[in-house]
Amino acid sequence: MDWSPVLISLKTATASIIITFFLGAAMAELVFCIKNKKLKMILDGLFTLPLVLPPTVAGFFLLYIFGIRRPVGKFLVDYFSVKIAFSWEATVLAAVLISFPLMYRAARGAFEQVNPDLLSVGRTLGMSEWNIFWKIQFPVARPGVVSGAVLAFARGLGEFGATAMIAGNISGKTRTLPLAVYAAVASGDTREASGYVAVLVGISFLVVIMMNYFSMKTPGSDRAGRRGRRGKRAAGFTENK
Amino acid sequence: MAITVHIRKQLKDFELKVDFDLESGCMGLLGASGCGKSMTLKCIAGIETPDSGRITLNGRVLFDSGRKINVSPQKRKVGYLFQQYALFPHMTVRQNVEAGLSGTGKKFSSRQEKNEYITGLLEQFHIPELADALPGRLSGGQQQRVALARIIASDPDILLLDEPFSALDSYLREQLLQEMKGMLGSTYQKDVLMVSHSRDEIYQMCPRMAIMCPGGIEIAGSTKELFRNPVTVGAARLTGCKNLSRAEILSDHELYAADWGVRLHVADVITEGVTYVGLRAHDFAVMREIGEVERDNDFWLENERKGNVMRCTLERITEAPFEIYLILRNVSSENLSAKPDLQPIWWKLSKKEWEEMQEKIPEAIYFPSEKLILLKEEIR
Repeated sequence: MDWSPVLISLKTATASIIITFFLGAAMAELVFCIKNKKLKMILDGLFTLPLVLPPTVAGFFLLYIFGIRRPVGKFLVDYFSVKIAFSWEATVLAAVLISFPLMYRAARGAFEQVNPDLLSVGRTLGMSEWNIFWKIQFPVARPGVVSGAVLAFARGLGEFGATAMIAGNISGKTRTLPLAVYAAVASGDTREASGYVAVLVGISFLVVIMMNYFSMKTPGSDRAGRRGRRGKRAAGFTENK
Repeated sequence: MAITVHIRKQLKDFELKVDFDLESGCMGLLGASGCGKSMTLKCIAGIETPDSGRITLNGRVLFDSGRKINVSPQKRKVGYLFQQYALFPHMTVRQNVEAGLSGTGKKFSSRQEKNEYITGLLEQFHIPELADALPGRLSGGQQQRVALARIIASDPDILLLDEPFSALDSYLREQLLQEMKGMLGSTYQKDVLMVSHSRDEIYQMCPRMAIMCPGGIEIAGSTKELFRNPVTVGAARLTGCKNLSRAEILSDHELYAADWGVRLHVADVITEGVTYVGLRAHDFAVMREIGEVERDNDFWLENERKGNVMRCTLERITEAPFEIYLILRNVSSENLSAKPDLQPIWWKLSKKEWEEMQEKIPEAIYFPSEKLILLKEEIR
């Protein structure tokens, strides 16, 4: 069995979760802070779109933007000699795009669950907005944010459609585990396919277990930190206002 | 030390209009829930922004819509005690108090010195042993102490207390109220603005008070004076006056209480604008025996004509731990039937008074003229 897909997949998922984590949390904070309801709705819709679109469509958009004959893709090739399409970076790009909504929505839900009085009291005590975010809002929202991140990691690991579109299926370069499963089945090698499937199932199961572990661990107590007990935070999909 | 507040803010159901100033000491805002008390405090703290107006604290302008000044909550130096105390749940008590230090710019030469300072504060609030506990494990009273210590650490110019005792069990309330009074009044000498719907708390804590009705401040002044003479109907209701009736003015010292069906002589001169009359539930008196007169219908008719007397029948009797409430209805001497269109009268008696009356419902009650409160609709 060729182990390169396992390595590529882990590399891709790790790189993409780092990007997704910060990008998703930042966008969640942005939408959380926006007061204008219409703008909030539009941005929220935009950020959730990759979750509801077929991954191939998301991949089509990526190809449309980063293809070497497209403005952005051409610009990157001309000025930075960076070719995105059909490179390893493209697998990361695809994974980020597809896993981003999971992270974003979980983080936003978790931020909204934080008792607003905690943030207000931080302000009246003279804490800077930066400190209020990192020392109060983020730690209190942490279980929700972390479980969202774990879910996003798992989704990035399993990304297939968009990856196939923008990164292709180049063995040893862009062939991730899901693509390897597809390729093995397509060439009739069921043995190899089952190997990859076993690895994928193993990692995914571990991830779900981790997610449950993190969402069970709450800082402090529910009584003081949260407004009532509105729904489970497990997946972070609590409510969308 | 002084705070002046003149603000307007459109809320969902009404426009909040608040105007008052406080020279120093403790002032209470008494009002029913949803009248904009907390919103007023939030505007002062900068958590909410008024539509227009001006707020100054010790000469510093915190908010001025005309000059487009809106100081951030961080720079206002206003301590806000939230109703549920809003302790940071993921931080220990020590870290919570330390968070209060963050805006003061206080410099400590070492970590140890800072720790000692915080421990000192915790000792003042009698909670040094809780330093490493998480807020979720604390009782309501302990949480309040931590929240206060945290505010004191931030060294504010004024303290805003939002229903400070409502989250506590009633037996703790009295004790913590006294403690807080001592802490804020003598130990730290902070100016305090306190919001509450409990007249007992305001009366005990605050020498001055303002009474708020939906829409804004109804009347402000000395607490004792306002309890003695609330001036407006809304204020009378909030200071706990159970008996209120519309008044039809008959002369300088006489009126007809339309909701009770009684003519009343009052000690004070009835000024223009008086539309209501009130009598606190404990201010009624028993009709004293007048010799051995036979108390027939004529006797009552004559007394009713003289005024301040109402024949009554018991509608309900309610017993509280230390007092008895008699809820009485007017009985007309003319046809001896209860009048359903009239308001019932609440009469509060101590258990001792009730025993002295041999637990018998009197045939009539007396409205002492010097206890009657003359009230206006509003004074705005």
